Amino acid sequence: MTVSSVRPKSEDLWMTQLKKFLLPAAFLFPAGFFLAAFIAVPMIQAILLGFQRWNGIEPATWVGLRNYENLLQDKVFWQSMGNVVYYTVATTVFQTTIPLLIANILNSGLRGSTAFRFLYFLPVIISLTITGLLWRMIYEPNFGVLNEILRSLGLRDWTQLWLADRNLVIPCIIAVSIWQSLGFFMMIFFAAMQGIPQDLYESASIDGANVWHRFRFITIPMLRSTMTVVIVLNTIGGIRAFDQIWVMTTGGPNHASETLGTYLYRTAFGALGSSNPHLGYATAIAIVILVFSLIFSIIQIRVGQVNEVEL
Amino acid sequence: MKLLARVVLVSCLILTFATPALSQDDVVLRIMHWTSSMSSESEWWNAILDGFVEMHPGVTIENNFVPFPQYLPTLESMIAGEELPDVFFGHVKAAELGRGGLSVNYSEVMDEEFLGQFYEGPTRQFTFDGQIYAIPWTAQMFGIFVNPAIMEELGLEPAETWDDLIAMAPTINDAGYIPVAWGNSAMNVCPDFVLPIITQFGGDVWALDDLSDPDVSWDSEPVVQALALLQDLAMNGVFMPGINGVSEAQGAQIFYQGRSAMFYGGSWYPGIIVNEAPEELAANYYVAKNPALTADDIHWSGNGSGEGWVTKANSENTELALELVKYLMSPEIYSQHITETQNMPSMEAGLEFVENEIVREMTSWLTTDGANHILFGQGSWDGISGVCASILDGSITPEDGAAEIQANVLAARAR
Repeated sequence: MTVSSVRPKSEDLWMTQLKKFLLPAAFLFPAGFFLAAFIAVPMIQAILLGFQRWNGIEPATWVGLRNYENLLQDKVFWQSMGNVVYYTVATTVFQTTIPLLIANILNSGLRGSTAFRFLYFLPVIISLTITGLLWRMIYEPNFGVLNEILRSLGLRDWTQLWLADRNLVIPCIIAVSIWQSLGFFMMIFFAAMQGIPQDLYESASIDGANVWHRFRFITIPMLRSTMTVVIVLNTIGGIRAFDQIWVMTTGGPNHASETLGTYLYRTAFGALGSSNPHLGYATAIAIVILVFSLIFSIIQIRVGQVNEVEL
Repeated sequence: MKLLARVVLVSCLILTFATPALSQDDVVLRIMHWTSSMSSESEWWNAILDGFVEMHPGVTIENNFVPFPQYLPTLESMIAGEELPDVFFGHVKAAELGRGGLSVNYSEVMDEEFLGQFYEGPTRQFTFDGQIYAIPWTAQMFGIFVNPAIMEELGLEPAETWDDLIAMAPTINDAGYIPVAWGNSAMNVCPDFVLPIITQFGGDVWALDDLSDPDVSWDSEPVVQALALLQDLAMNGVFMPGINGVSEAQGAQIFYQGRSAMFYGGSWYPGIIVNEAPEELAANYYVAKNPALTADDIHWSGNGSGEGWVTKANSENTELALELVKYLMSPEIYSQHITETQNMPSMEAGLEFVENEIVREMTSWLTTDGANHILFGQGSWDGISGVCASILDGSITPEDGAAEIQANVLAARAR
């Protein structure tokens, strides 16, 4: 037997390589095609549109960085940005800590824990639009349920204008967001807690650790990757907050609850009686939202990885 | 692999041949509007559309009802996607579409007799640079709906002037009622309220919306005075507390439930009150004109037309679409529309089919007290709606508010 008879011919090698490439490519093509057509191409178009002026009727014109320069001078944009920071920080803090604490309580063998989990999860299955409408009725300043309850309890002085008060409007929306999302994040933490070995708690108890110590030094470190996911979800949710706010306040009164999402929508499509879209300008706002979401997500994922606890 | 390729090829062939072929005569006319009583479940509306189809064999009409809150974004998307329907309500896009050549200029294609049959206010609503870009399907007029039981209980009559209204507010509030209910959480009703007041103070809202006259600006005296009056009304308890947190529907419900003596609303409310208000109120309520500055002044109030048919220009279906518009506005068909909806007619010929006395009365104001309340100019609506909310809650002075409107409108136009 000669060496050449063992070595595959270059043609065969080429065919083998081709088959090796073609088969996976054939499987990947449909998904790749749809991703390119419906995500990549529109995203590139959106990035380009951010550098154009377009009202949807006349042809788009290239304006370079003008949309972004205008954003820097736009008071409503900065007000929206401030509101987004406020909303995102508050919802991220409360929508991480409160579900974590409740999940911990439910995980401690509390009687009726299943029923509580069900009750806490109920608001999650209701659409954001419906809860927005519901809470708009609850917050109605004259005959809304909240003020009626306060009055019936003899707390007339505690009644507020709620959504009509520019100082209270965002806290009111944050409260609704916490109520709505509590069950979802609680279930994530609860599920993750099931994976923590009981031995750790038992050993800690033998060593004299109390409830707080076990929570602080076992539960929290063991849930760090879960917390990272929850924080990232909350941060992204906060930065792109739109539907509930639009239904409850349409960003008002006078932009007091305007977020980047509602301002984007208003700028692109107009409000109830408005017109004159600035689609290029709106796209610039969308790009800002995208960039912020990306930056914060990367930072939080990196921080989460650094502090990962290995068993 | 070969098998897979064969399957894909055969599937493509089957799909190709399975697609029904349209003959050249088949035409689909797409119409779009936000009137719920003209949805595909509406028998009278379907009968009207079927009548047109019978007259034009081979034509199919696709009727698209889009609820009002979603209408404008839908229309904006269709414009951007170059997918305009053939006949549709132009909303506040009527001017831009017409000026941009995307919709038919009715002044060029309809004769004077046809265009002259409409009330002046509704037609003026869609006239830009002397050209008419939409045909008013209905008209509208704002007024003050009155709960007679409360007013009688308190010994009050509807206010002739704004000062009268401010003067009676404490009496109504002390009795536990809200003087005038309406809601501004969507920030769309306040401009309806305040723009006619600018007219009352001698301002020209058309010119303000256009803003091409250097002598006209949003920070001018009539605007400041109108905003000051609005703030006076709000601060003197004429409206409910926290009006910016009350939706338009909640405002109406407050009136229906007998919690307010009056309600500020448009001429479409009589049709809603019949269905939603308690029978006693629905049977006895009446309507009053907006108060004026003095008893002798005109009671300027928002009029015009929201529902205006726009026809897509330069399409294969344009001629047919124009025929559809003419058909809809023909006496026989238009009378059916008014009879069924009891909406405010946009032409005098439609008035005889209005049975609702309140609508009839409000229609009579069109020619005497109608003022502009719909803005089409770049940034105008956003500018005034935001400041309006701040005026209502007292967080801005009328002077600063007027200056802010002007600055915001100019900024929007410079973008």
